[in-house]
Amino acid sequence: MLEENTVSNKSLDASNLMQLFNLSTDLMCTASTEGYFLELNTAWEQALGYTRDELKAKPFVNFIHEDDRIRTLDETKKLFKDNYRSINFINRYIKKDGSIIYLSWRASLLKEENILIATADDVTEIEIHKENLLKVKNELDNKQKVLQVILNHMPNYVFYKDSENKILFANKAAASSMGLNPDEMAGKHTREFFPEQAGQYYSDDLKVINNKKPRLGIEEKYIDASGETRWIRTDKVPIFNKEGEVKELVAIATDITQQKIDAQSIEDQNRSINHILRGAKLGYWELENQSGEMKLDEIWLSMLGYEKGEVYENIESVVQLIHPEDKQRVLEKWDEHVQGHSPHFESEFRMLHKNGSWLWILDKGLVISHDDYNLPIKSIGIHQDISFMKEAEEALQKSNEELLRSNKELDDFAHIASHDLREPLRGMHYNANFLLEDYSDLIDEKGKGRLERLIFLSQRMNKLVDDLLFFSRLGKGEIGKQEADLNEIAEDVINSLSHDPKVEIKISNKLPSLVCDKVKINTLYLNLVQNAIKYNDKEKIEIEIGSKKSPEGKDILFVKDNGIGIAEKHFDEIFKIFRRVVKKDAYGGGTGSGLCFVKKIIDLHKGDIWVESQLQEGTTFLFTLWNK
Amino acid sequence: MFLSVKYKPLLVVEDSEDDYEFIERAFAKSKIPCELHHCDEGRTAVEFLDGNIIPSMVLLDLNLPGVSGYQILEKIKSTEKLRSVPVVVFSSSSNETDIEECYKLGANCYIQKPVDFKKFNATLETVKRFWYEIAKLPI
Repeated sequence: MLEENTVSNKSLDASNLMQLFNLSTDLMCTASTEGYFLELNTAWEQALGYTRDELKAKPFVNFIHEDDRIRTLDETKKLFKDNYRSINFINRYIKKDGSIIYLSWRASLLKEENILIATADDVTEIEIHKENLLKVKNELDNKQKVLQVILNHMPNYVFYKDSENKILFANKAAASSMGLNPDEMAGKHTREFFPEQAGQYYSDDLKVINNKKPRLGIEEKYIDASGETRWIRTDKVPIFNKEGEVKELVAIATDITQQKIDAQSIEDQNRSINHILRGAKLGYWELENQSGEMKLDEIWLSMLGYEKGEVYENIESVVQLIHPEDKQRVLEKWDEHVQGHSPHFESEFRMLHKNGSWLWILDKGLVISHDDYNLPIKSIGIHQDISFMKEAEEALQKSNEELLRSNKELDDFAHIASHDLREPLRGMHYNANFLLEDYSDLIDEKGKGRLERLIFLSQRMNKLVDDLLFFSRLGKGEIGKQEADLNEIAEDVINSLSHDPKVEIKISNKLPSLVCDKVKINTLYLNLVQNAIKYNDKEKIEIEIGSKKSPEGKDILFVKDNGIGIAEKHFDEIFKIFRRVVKKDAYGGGTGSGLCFVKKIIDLHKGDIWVESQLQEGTTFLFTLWNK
Repeated sequence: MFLSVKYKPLLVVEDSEDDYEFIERAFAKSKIPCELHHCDEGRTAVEFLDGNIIPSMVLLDLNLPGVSGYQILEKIKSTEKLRSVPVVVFSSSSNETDIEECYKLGANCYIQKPVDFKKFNATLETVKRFWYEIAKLPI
């Protein structure tokens, strides 16, 4: 039985095994150690497309993918070492049609027969799938890397958060804004970094999570690592999981602090410009040159009595409001500017007020941008109501005319004073004299004294009239303008005075040459020097004519004396006509007009005159020419 | 000596009575017998000058009713037979342009009113001396 069994087993072994061998869809084979297939089951023919004979005819290596040959031989060699019972590996065979088949091998060596036995599975599909997976994985890896680079280099703060207000990931910018690196933020609660704002952030998060909709442009402020308040604008975007639930979100924040500051400063600037325009009552206009559209502000409109919407804001209707007599002139001026002949446009013209009256407007404007062909794109300008100025101008003209008339009257008066007043005055003088001559026997000493006083007074009055006339003539006519050496003038003046041993006049330094009216400056020096002599009670009268430079390098001329001095309270008064600060008959009894002439001459030369004086010690008159 | 021109009158053109009296008195004081011919307006002065008598000197006020002193001065200096007669302008004007104008028109001297007798006489004496003694203006 046992033997039968054994035999029957044996017979099953041989024939059945062979049948099994050929029926199996697995690939089975034996091979010689020389590298030739010995036996192959039929599955091979289907798998590789070769007949078994074709496969046996060449070394099996020939059917292996070139790249896998060495590896296959290396694997096979392992079987010849003691410690390897069997080997597993995958390699590629080239089918008869040239395509590739992946085979997963299990092989062992029958050492006694020196035969390799092996089975192989077609794993082509799996391998190709694997290969694809790898490709996808590589691509993903690559994308991840790119994403990482983007995340780490973008200036925006990116937070990846869960529904518990925990930060799962923060990019470099986000982390460094808190003085940290990304790893230090990952996995931590928002509260740890933004203790004050965490609540607000979380409530924003929850809205995104619950509504499953992004929230964009959330503007918030926070305190950064350096303690500075910064503004951020955040977009929060929900992340949907497979089930369509939102458990996580991404917050992308942009630091808009600078923008905020800029916007604020622009707003401030606009506000102050507005204040200026409003304060100065200036209307503002803008013009799109090519379309003719205009923007007119409230002040512009209200200046002419209009409200927004009552005037078509375009160039044509605005020009319509200009007075017909002014229109041509204004447009020509504007063209002149547009064509680049003037740096800006400026014109005064009349515009029609809503109430029908004409308003004088001063318009200043300019083109502020040009296109590639240098044609104007945009212009701006301001309007100023100058009606009151025009009225003032007219009033000024009127008062000028009046002034001219009254000047004329003054001239006439001067003429009367010079001739008609002086003649009877002279008559009085002569008659008092004749009376004194003819009737001296009949008049006693007291009477004679009175007559002499009469003569003195008439002489004095004559002098006053003379001065008045001289003064009125000083301001008239052209002022001469020629280069004059002041040294010559001063010497002339000194020489014209009668010599008096008590008086010493010196020119202390070389005087400059100046453009002036020679005759008038001579009069000026003469008056100053005469005054210096007259108002002086010193034994030795010392007068110095000199010049010095002002800090600005201007010539300051002076006449200095050692006379009685002038009290400071009189400094202004002394320059007024017939104003005397000493008693009438003291110090030679001048008419008090000399300094008035001096002042007038200085005024004519657009200069300044001032006094430095110390009572009893002396006076210095200082003056400049042409500094106004 | 003023006397040397006594045969020719001295023409005084002066509208102011007081001024003329002053002139009369001044000449009286000079103790020089000198005939004064007085015209108190421009028109009569012109008539006199148009006549046959050539004055030894003319004392001329500028501000006159009718024909002005300037016109008379101009007439004298542009008339052949009168041109050499010394003309002393006697006026109250202190205006330099007025004075300049007189000299431009040929005046020989200018005395500004008011003046005292002494100065007046001294000036006239000087003028007379210069023209009749130094410049040898024929009498």
